[in-house]
Amino acid sequence: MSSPDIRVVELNMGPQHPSTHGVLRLILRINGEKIEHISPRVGYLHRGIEKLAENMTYQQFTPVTDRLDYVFSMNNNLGYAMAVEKLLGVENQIPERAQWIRVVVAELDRIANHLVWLGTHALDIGAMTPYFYCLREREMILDMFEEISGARLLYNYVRIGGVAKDITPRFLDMLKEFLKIFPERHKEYDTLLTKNRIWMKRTKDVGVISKEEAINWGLSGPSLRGSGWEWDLRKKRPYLFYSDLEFDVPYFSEGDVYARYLVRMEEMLQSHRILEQCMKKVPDGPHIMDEFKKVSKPIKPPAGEAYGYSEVPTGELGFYIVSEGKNKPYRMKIRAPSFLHAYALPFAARGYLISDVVAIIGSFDVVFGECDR
Amino acid sequence: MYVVIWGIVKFIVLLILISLYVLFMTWFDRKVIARMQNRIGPKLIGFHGLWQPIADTIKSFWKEDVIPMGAYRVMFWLAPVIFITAVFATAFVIPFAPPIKTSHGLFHFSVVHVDVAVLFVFAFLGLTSFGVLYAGIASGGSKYPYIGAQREGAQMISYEIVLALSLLNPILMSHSLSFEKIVEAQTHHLWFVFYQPVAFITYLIAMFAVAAKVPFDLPEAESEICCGYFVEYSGMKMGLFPFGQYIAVLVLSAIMVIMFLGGWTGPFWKGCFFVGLIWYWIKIAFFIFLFTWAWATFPRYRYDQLMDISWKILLPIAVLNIFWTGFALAIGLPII
Repeated sequence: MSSPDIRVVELNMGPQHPSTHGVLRLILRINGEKIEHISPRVGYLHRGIEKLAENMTYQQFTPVTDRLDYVFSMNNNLGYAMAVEKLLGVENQIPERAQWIRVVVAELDRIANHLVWLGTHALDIGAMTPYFYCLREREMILDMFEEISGARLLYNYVRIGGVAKDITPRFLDMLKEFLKIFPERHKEYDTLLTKNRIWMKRTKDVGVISKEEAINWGLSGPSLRGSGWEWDLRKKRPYLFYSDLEFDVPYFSEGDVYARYLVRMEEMLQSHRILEQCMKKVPDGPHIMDEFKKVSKPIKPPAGEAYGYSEVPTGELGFYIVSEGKNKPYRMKIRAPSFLHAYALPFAARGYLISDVVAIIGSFDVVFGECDR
Repeated sequence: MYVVIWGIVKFIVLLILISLYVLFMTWFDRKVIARMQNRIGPKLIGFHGLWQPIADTIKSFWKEDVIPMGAYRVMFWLAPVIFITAVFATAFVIPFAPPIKTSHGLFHFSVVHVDVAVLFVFAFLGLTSFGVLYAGIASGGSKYPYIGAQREGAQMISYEIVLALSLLNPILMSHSLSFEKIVEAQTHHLWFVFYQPVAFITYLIAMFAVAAKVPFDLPEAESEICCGYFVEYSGMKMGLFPFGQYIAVLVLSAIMVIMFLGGWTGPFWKGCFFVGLIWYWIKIAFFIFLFTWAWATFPRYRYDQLMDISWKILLPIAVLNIFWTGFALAIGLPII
């Protein structure tokens, strides 16, 4: 009988830990500082959202989707709304103005999410200042969202058939102002981090995921693009009017933390580009389809199944809805990118050091509202 | 008897000055970093939050003093005491002003005036890591403090060597271990930083590591090991660790100024006491500010990279630099 290796220590990281982004709990087996094995424990924020959906009408469930990944609520609303619209078969009848608003808020929200990601990711690696710079710009976006939806975190704005309220002229002014200053602010983060020697040392060749592994583990979004796949649902399976817009899909083949960092940094600029194209023409018309104006009016989709997908800042968010023709779904499955990323985490972080685990968690941008559902 | 009473008076004055300095530094750090990060910083208590440190101190005195059940109580108590004592001891030999001539000879503004001040500082700077190691071990199997203490041990060993080796150059050039003599040697020539730029840079890097400040704050990396070695501490016991760190920052900056930047010498009114005093403290304040500046700017190095920098880069450079200095002195090259 062999005696247990006393050099290997079990270290409990989380659920209360400054850099596990919420309530991730990792049980690390470490030898010195080197990690031999990781087992993640998820579910500390489990609220049974998929089951909740079965007991709520379609409209009632919209605010619950806000609580998935609370950093980008707009995109969650959008994904859900598109899934239900597909089920109803009205996805091509959405008013032009509603579509325009949807794209604008989705892209603004993407920037807002990436700003929080950048700040916290830098904070995990030890750079304190980018966080406050990022929040400064996120604040501008939140002010815009407050202007149109009245809320700053859980918007409940994108509704089935359109959006909750029409945009105001003030919103457009704020948006113009934001678009004007964002590139130079983006440059500030860039100078602080991208070519920073320490930053590069901490992130390059850390948490390397090969091209095959990335696809096998079901990664999506920037994490997948960091591993060399040029895959973006906005390009490959266009929805709304993304096919009319010009934007690039940044991807890098290194597959390390630095590559994922670069992808997200570039994505912010691409979102900015999309927004500038949107600003050229603001279509008129209703902001929501007439039949969906009243939330109290029950929606009864025909019996059937539909999968609605959208490219949210972390990856592919999917809603698979099974309808029996009633006003409540029979079953709803949410494909949460954070859950799959949390699953890939132990594989990506094995063999690295404790400090690297923190960097790798940050690079996946997992949020546990969505992971645990 | 006279010497003993004088020493006690000096010690009490030092204690008050250092405490005031640390209080002010916490405010200064927060204010400067806030400025760099587009925030306001402390504002509510007093003029621009100037009384904030007092409020913080009172708060930490009234905090419940928790000792974990598994902790080794004696060691747990002893750790902050050892740490703070050793750090204070390093401050004993630091001159706080240029010496003045009296009828009894030179009067030195340091608690203890020794001719081997550099050795004294190094001896006690090495002891500070014992406080940290004890804190890590005494936390009773709590793993984060243990990892933090491990890191501190390794960091201190690798960087104290670099620190000492970089100081060897000014010592070789001035033939003295006494701070006053080293400053005096620089009045006859240029400051040593112009003869020893390499040693200056190696010392600068090692200084950050020995004080365990960003980008080398690994023993207490809050985002990795949640404040490291003092996780289990609370109240004023916990407050003593940052307290000691601020003193270490002051001591290391003062040594930097004395060894490389000519101490209290400056371009105007040479020999005037007050001008010297002002020059001396401007230079020290710059390096203290440098610590704060780095804190707001840099990410943190990783453990193995920290070791690499010390053993693979700084140490060979420092050793070669000593060879060069020795060679140049031996053949009488006009580097001095």
